[in-house]
Amino acid sequence: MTKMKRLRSQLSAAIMFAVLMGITTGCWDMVEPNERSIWVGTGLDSAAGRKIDLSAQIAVPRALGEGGGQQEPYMVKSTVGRNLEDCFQKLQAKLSRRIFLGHRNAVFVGQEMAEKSMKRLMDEFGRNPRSNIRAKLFLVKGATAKSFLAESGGIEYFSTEKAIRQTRFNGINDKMTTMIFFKEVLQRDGMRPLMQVVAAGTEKNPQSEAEESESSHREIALFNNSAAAVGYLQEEEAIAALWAAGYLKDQMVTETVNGQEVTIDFHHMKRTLKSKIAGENVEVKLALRAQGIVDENDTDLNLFSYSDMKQVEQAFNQRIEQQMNIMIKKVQQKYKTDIFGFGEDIHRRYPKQWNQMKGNWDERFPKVKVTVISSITIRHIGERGPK
Amino acid sequence: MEKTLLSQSLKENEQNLRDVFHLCSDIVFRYTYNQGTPEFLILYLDGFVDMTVLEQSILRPLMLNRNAEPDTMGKMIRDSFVFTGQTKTSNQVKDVVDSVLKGYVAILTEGESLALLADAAGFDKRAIDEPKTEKASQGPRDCFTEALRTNTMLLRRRITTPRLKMESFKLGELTSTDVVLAYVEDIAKPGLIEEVRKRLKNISTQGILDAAYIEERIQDRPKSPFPQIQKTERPDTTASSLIEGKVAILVDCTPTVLILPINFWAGFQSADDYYERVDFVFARRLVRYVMMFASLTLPGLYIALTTYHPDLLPGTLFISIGEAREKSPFPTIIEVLIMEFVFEGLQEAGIRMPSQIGPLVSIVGALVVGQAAVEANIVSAPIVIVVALTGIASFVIPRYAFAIPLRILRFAIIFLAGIYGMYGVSIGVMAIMIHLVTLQSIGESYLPPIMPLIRRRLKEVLLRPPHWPWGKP
Repeated sequence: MTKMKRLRSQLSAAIMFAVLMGITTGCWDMVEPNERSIWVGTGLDSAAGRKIDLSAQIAVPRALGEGGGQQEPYMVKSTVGRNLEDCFQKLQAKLSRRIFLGHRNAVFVGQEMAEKSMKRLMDEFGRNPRSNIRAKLFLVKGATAKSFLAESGGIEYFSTEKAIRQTRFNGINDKMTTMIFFKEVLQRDGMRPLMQVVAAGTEKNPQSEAEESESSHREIALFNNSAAAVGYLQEEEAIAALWAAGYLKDQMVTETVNGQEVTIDFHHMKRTLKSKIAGENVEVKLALRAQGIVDENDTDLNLFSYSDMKQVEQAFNQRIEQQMNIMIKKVQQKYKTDIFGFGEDIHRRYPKQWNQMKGNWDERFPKVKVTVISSITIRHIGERGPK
Repeated sequence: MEKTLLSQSLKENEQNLRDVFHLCSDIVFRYTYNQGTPEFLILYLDGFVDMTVLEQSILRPLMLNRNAEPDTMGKMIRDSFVFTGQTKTSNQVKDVVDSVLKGYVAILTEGESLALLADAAGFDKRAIDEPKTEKASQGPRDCFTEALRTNTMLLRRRITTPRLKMESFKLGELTSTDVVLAYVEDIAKPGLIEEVRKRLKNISTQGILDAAYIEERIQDRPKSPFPQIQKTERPDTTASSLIEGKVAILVDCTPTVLILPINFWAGFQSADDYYERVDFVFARRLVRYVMMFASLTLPGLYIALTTYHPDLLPGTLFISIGEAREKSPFPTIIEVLIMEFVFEGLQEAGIRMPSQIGPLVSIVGALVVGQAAVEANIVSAPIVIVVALTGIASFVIPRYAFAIPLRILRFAIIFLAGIYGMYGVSIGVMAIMIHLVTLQSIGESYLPPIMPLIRRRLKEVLLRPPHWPWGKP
């Protein structure tokens, strides 16, 4: 009999344990994969009266499988709400499946919204535990984010994926395009964030791009302290700014040497800052370093010869320094926002003085005297030496 | 009533034995006569006795010996004229009966209360075959058979030392099965031998028909799904275990030998691990450990990941799973349970069915269950993949007995995953680990060298010790 009793007490303990386990997990949160709406990308636009126009690009799995094809593999739903979570709730009412943010890989901000200020969006970034904090952040220029989401993805299923992949192979450190990094930079005193820009309307005819050969599009948006986009930099200027701000890992650079073009594929791109406080003024020495492989040499220079190679390096260094100076001047004078993190360097080197400076850093930043020193080296001259 | 001692009268003895073997048609009573008077009574069990031995070594000398005086008969059968290897005498009726039942020939004579028992056993037995359940790519190909003496021979051929002891036991009231406890003296711990001896002696049962009858009666925790005694049919595995200081139990009439104590890792080691190159075995063991984990948790992980934590899956994979599940009528857990159940059924059918219709079942299994069920949108394709992978994983485990607990516990993990998600899977795996840590095999812990931690033996688990000198022993 005691054996029976022990068995019964063991059984009741097991049942108890199972029930308690159920309570501690909260609730029955099992959701079948076909009960979730796989949210791929978010679009944020400003709506009238401080409201947010949130659009969602949602994958349609049926269209991805065999026999799909007639249907687009995504749909875009949008709603206007008072803040992000309010929008989510309203959007859920429009969807037959549970919102699932785990694979929301990118957030697109419309130009209007970004230029107004994104500060009020920042809190939700990273607070909502269900969302993917490593989602990439993009600014959609010249259109609303909603219209970008509605575009076809071309070779990809979704325009979101297209945007992510375009930037992935452009040499920018992957971690630095995420929304959580943007938020982190914004919280610093001596650095301002920047954002990748995508243009809407580039994918009008996904079959062929031949009819209108677009120029490649590289653009970044510069943000100020209150998370409002204050300016844009394109092409070479954008790359120079990314390098100077420490976002770049590798990049191909083409410069003119002796009237002809030379392209070097750089890797290990680094920048180092050395700031100094001289009285009221701040001086910054910006050292740029990179190693590269010569990919194309249209000049008559013989790269086997040391002096010719040095000549190429010198020409590159000169051009880079020139471009950097122009770009930094432009950022300092026109946009007045410290995307390079000069302030952060002072913060680290002179923490005491920084306490007095950080209050009006935006006024001080244009007055910073910047010296650029570029020292790139050619590591490899390519497969063939002379012309 | 039956007499316990033999009498001097041949007639009386015959009557007595005929009473004992009443209605046993396979007992043969054979008289030899000298000038018309019965001289010897020869008693044997038909089918158990090698006829050539009986004729040439027993009947022939007895019947050709015509000149002896009648009063020296007793002396004669004790000392000479019987040319078999093993003889013994007894005056106990029970001894005579038991010996005859084991294949001895009993010889009785007038005026003598002793019976001569000559070993002439020669019943039919299976030839030494290749191992059926423990296949190995390399190494010896012999396998234990049902005959105990063949099995002890196979061990003796490998370990040629008088220190290899083979203690004999008789278990089972009806079967009185010969059981041999084998160990190498001075290597096996005396405490261990004493403990096994004690447990064997405590067995009281009507019959022992297989080694499993003994296994279940002497293991430490009969309720645990994990085997605490290793069963093998390979003499090389047994011999290497004996050299390591383990103890083997050989049971007559079964090709299975019990090895004890064992630890958990023994279930994932195969005999040919020691016949292949070290580096290859290392890779193979890695595969086994991964597969062991997959066999236990893969369906559970699938349920937990797709229904509770899709964030953990790559985005495109989750979209494909979602696409595959678009038309599925059942929740994931039900789908997994259906497919697992069908797979278990297929395995069972595979063991039971007659070999002529074997191909039929594989066609039905592959086509109907796999393809058609997916095409008819009853189950989704990823589930079939998961279940098939799990099945493969469980067959990777070299010892069948160790695949079984994982197969059973897999269902527990499936339920835990279905109710609690990843939380349930981890609780389940932890509970199994706690159980394994407390488990013992004949008083020795089950998980060494991981628990208790023995650092210098740690590499033995993942790698296998090479045959060349390797660090400190």
